[in-house]
Amino acid sequence: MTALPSPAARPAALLVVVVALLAPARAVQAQPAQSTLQAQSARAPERSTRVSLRSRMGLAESPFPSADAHKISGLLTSLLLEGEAPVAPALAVRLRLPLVLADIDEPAGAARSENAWGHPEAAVLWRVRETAAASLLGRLALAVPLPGGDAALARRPLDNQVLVLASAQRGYHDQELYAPGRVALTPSARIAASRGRVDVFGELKLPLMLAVGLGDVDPRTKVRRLAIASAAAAGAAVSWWRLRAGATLWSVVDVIQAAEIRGAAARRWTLTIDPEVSMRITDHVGAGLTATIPVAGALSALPAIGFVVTGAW
Amino acid sequence: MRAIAATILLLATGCQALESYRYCSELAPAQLAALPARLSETGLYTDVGADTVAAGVMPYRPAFELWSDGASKRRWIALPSGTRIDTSDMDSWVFPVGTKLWKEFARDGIRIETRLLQRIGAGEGDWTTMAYLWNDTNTEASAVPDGIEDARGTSHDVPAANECAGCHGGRPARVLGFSAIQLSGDASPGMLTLDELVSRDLLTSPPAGRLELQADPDARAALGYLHANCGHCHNQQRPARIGERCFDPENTLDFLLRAGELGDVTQTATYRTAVGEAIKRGDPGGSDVVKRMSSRRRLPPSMPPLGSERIDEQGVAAVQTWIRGLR
Repeated sequence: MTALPSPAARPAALLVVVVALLAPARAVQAQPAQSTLQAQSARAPERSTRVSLRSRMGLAESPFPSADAHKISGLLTSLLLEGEAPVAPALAVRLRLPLVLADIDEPAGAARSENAWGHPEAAVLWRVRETAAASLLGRLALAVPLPGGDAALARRPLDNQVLVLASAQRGYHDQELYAPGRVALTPSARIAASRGRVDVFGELKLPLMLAVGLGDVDPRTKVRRLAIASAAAAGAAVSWWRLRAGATLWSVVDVIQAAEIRGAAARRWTLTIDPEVSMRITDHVGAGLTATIPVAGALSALPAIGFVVTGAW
Repeated sequence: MRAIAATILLLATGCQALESYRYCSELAPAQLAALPARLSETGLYTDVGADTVAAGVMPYRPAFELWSDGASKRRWIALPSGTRIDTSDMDSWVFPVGTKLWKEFARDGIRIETRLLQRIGAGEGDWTTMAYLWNDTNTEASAVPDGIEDARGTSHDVPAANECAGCHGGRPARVLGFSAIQLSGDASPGMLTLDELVSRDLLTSPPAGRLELQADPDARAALGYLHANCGHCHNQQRPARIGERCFDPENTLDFLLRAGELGDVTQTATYRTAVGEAIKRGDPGGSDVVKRMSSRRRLPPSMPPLGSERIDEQGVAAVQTWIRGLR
């Protein structure tokens, strides 16, 4: 976890992310208008270059594998900057960079301000099959923790809570970006279909998360070298005029837990729904609102809301 | 696009800014290193397993207690041999370097933790704090600088060391429940009193007598409650801030009782700063003080905002009764 100065540095850190998003978007606005904004289109990977910034904000809670803190909570803003560009007719590359700004709750009611980068991820996307109405996409992604003090999963109860909470805030369906101290190799497949104004899709990914260091593990906590999760999604969206509305249902199962308190039951399954409404503002830029709402499983009912800004050209 | 960027910045930073009052600076390494890892090494006990308190360690009980979600508490103080408390300011005693105060918390018959507050230097802020978690056999307690939630199978939360400043950092003396006003009540047998401090020559400027609020029982109960539970944060004589805001309310409310203002309730700081503002005469339901005490919400923050998850029904009732009688 590479901590950022806090809290005064938060606007500066955010500006870096926002500028990174806006700079290319401004540049492409002068280009011919044949580019269109296609957020979450059925025909991924896009043949256009896309950049997006997604956020989640709100209170978050998560089980935590420490005998001293079975549950952790905090007020989080997490940002996920994503860029995708075609490199060949059937290939594209995708980069994702997560940033988390957090107030982590302390036991008696105080809070610690902590900011952390999640794991930058690079992925190769392969359009396996495509017809006029449907597509099958394969993806292989590698996420690597940034250098810093985040190599240990369970050194002390107060370590690594930022990333765990950020993962919880997104319903654990992007664990590969937030698994403390773990390199994640994530194969996934996505199938999508379109008919008229309606897009539907399904996705399955299997992040394999390998601990790069186990640190001074609390003897009461069992930490595994390899953790595996299974995240399955099904979603649909409707487009009309400049608007697009949809929802994605995510089911996440921890096939092999990263860590657990010895003898204590741990999180195994989480079901969330992510609604999203967006609007195309210009030919190149769109914006919208999104959320993650826990439905069942390990998470308590703490929905997170957020915004999404997309650019394409 | 600028508007979108500005909105992003506002949303992302605004949520955190709302709760910045909850940040408390971490203790310096020297402050943490000043305290032993085990309670038995702090000087409280000669035989910790037998609960035998060391000579020179004096138990006390304040007249007005801090609500701790119904926990039962025991308290002790130890002054370095041959020293006295500087009481030239009767409202803000200055304790000698080396002073130690302990407070033990038990819930439902389970001894959970003992907190230590110790003066380690001559500077006003030269205090350090630590909570010690009792083991299952009650034979030892170990330092827990990060605190623990729901300790020992109860709903009691042991604070992290830096959280102690949330309350103790609001008074120059750092000590909250050991003062002229708090020791002027009718003490239980064996408990240290203001009279005993005077008779033992432990005060540099002994008061002429007990410092008790001249008021009817309802007013005394309510103003004493607000003094003990709200005054350590809400007062106009907070020490200069060091580091994070740490529960500094940054408002003008003041609920402290002071030695020179006990003869007439209308002279107390609560009357001067809160009645007519956060306290509406005759209207407890419309008084912000009661509303905050009667909830446990995050935003707007309930009172107290730390160290409590349960409403103090008796405390709320005492304040309501007094407000209802205000004309």
